Amino acid sequence: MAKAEIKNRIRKLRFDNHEMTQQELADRAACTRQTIIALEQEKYVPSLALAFRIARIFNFSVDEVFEYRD
Amino acid sequence: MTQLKKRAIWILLIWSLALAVMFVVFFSGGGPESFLEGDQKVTQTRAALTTGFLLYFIMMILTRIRTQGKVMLDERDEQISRRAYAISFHTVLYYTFIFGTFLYWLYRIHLDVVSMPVGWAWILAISSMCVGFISNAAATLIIDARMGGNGQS
Repeated sequence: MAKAEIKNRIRKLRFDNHEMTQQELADRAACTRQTIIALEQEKYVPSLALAFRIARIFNFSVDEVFEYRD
Repeated sequence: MTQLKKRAIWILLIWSLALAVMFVVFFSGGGPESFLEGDQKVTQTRAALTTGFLLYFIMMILTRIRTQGKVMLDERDEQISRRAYAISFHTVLYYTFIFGTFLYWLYRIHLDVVSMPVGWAWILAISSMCVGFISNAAATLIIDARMGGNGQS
């Protein structure tokens, strides 16, 4: 089975949004700062619910924040 | 550092120490053959187990303190926990199997006897408890590190 990768641009979006801190994003997305770190390092794939929450914080749709690659 | 990671470090320390004390007491001064001569060694290992549980519960209470509005455990922590529990379950399973098989080999095949000191049953029971906690904590720390760890802000 081919390994799929989920890429994201959370780090860039954070900086574009008045240099939002990881802690601030974590608080707003109801997760821990370590999860945001893991997401930015692309070592963790979020649940659909968390992906939606993060996308909403930046006023984007999920597929504008996360990208699926085969 | 997440609450899950803090707890894993404490669990690793507490139960590694308890396990070390149990094995030292069990194998010192005559080993398993003299384990049940007098209640001293049983009491000492029981004390190590009780102290382990006491420290464990105190630590669990202390690490429950919540920071205002801050999420302490999230979906990533739950995923790490689930994987760590699966690993510790298998670790205890293999530990008990290998320990039991070793005792069978040692007494029935190597020493050619049909009975063994009952102290082995005691040490197997209490050490498997420690191994469960230790493997769970170690797995938590390893999976956490592989899933991004602490990183930098």
